[in-house]
Amino acid sequence: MIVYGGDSHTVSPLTEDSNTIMSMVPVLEPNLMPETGSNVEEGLASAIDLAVSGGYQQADILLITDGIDKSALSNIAPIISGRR
Amino acid sequence: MVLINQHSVILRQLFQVEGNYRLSILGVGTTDGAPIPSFAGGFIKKAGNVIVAKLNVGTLRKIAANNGGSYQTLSADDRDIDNLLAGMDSLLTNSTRETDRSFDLWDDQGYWLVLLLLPVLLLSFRKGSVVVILIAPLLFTAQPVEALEWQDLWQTPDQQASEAMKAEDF
Repeated sequence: MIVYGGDSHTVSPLTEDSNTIMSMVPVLEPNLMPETGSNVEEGLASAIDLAVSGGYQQADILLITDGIDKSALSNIAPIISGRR
Repeated sequence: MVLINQHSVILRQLFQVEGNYRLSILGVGTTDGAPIPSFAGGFIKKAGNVIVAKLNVGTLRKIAANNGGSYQTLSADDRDIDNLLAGMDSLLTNSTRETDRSFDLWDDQGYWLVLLLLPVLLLSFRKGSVVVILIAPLLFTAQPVEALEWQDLWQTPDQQASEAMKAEDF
């Protein structure tokens, strides 16, 4: 689980223990983030990094968001596909 | 941003991963939008104006579709998650498969024995049984002593005499 605002932070690494992640969700709130913002690219890059360094060649990333900044739109596909 | 993208790319080259990664999106909010509460109370502002976060469903749906995933708007029931998971299952059928690990989990049921003890415990709260338990040893040891009477347990001979006087039992 990764949270992002102006920057991104890994809350929990890849795990099969979903209870651990569930226990962390209630304490998450926007003001925990040191930087406000919507840096979705960094969040997604961190997610890919987790999968890659975990040795997973396939992964589903679930982005929970209220919106993506216009300037970020064109950056997303290259991050997910690894092509740029 | 370029730096981070490069980081990702370098990592992939290092691990020689030809990744098949997909992006699904769970949209939170409404198309009308709402302000974001801030820590100090009030709402998060930018240049003096309250930021209103609006959900742009169309854009998010397109991004998810372009990246191999699906889009759902957050719902109060499980429909959103169910739909997202339904789309994700297909990815796991290739070389990677979901591992269902089973293992023994000892479930201690010993506390049910407490129920057997409950009647005994309940009985012990009755006044009578407490007296019986306390007195029973006394009765057994008392048998050889013929002079011991029931009254002697509770009152001295003087007290018994006083009672008898009051009751005019001469």
